[in-house]
Amino acid sequence: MRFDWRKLVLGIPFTAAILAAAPSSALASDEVTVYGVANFGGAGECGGGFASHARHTTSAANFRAPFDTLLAAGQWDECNTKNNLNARGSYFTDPAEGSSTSSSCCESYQPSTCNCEGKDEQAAVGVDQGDIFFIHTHGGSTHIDEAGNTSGVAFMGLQMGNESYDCRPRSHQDWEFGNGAAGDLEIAVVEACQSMDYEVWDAGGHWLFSQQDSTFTMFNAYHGNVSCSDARTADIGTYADNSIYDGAGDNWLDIMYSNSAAADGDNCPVSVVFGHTATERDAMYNNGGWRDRKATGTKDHSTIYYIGGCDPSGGSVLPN
Amino acid sequence: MRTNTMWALVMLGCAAACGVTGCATDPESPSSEATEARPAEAVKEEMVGGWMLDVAGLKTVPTLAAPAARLLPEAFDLGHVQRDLLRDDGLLEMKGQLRDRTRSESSAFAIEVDPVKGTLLAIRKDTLGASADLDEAAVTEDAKDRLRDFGIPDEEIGAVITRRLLGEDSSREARSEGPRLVAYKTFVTRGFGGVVVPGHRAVVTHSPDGSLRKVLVKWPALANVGHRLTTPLTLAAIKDRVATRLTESGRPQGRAVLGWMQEPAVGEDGSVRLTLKVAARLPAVDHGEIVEEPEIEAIDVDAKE
Repeated sequence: MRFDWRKLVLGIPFTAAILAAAPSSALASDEVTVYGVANFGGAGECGGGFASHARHTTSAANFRAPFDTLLAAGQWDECNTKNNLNARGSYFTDPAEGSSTSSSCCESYQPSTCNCEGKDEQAAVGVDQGDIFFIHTHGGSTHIDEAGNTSGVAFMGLQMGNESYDCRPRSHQDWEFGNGAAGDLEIAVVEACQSMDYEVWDAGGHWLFSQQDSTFTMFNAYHGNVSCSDARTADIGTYADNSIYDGAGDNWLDIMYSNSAAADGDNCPVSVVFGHTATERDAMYNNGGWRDRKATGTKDHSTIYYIGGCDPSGGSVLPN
Repeated sequence: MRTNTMWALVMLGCAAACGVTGCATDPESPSSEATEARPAEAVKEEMVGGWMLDVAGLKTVPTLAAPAARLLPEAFDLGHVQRDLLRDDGLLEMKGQLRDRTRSESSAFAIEVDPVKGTLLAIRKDTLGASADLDEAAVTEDAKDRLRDFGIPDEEIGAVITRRLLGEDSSREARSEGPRLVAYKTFVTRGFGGVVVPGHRAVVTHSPDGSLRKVLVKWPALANVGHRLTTPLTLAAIKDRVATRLTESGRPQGRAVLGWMQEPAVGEDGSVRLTLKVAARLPAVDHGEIVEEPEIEAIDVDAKE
């Protein structure tokens, strides 16, 4: 889409005080990284029988678009896209969690050279080196199910794009957000099935990827399965457009929720906010945005926000 | 969990609203999405071209026409938004602009409007009172009244539902004893003739005390002409078309739930033209620890003006 420089020159720039609230990030630059994993099973790709969903990279582009506009207006510092083979599992793995020699993370179909290194702070590519990341891929969770069966630790996993690295970084053993010398992630947005099941939050699974002194404040994802369509891909762009200054949490629920008349058909977005007081967390949920990332204090408490009674496939009915 | 009774009531309501044309795949939904698991009485499956198609959502081929009454681009005029949608009369101050999106503030609201994209976001700046014993129906009516005053005619509304936004708190040592009410949200979906327009919605949020907290709108104006809302294909031909397209996509044959949709496309002037299509929802594929999302494919039906 062509950028309208005339509007920028003639219009009031977004440097106006209300719009240019300084980010709370410990590191000065504003950076966003988007990942779209659309291709599975081809040469060098993670596979395991997964179907390719071409629109996953479109979602990533739609999420990035308003940041490019901000960048052109001098209101953003860096935008990066890592799709398919460039979306490595190592970019979702903390240096302290991974190992360049271990094969513990690799699936049986992956090559013997597969390694489990942690590069989430690597410039321009890792999830933790930027302030915000978005990913659209296949996902899943493991936790106590509706029948009361447990599989131990509650966690989520995301399917990545390059079989030479971890094809399935998991939240409890690989992720660690907002930590380290170069880690300053504040907001994560995940378009994937079961990427934040209520049961994982209920079991404290979210504490396993965010420490008390972390910079990480907001995790937007889904309870249960989420559908994949051209309309929802466009919705991602609508969400990113509308969340520059306000509503980064609440807009996620407004735009990505959908209700089905029958059981098990809803899309159930959730937002988990980390911070000290309920007031701070509510403020980030309601009034935080890409350019107004609220300080929420010590990350010793969390709030999960959801639409009551939401009933997805692949997940329980949320409390109402 | 929703019940079969509720499903039946919804279908009855839909039948009344849609006549014989059939309904959107999901009559009360803010989206156009078909459902995965439905009561047996609402399922009508046919084997077509190797696919088990649930065609209960198609019924007959619709003959649609864009409603004469529709939201006008002028509805996104800032003064109108403040006065008639938000019912706020505070002094409005321009705060900034990025491309076509402007941000302004009064003492009560922050308002962002993009008339080209047909979007607006208005959020109350202050935190209001405590929870009150509210009638949810009154919340729904207030949301509809405000959107009507904003300029969205009833003829363009496909579905309206009010839901509770809940929050639950936890510390690293313990968690709260259950959810707290954060707000009421009324989701209003664009649609007519019983067929929704995916992605176009208005969401009105009320605080627990009933006061307006927020309005988010994605409702770009419809073009005056150029909508393709009728198809020359018969229902049988459409089913064959769906099966053919799904097979051509390379997916393994299986089950798909079908319904009608009006796919929006944005013109150079920002106005939207709608095209009748069939939404085919494929089931999620569970690989154990990872799940492939249920995909929804929009199938072309040679729709014409």
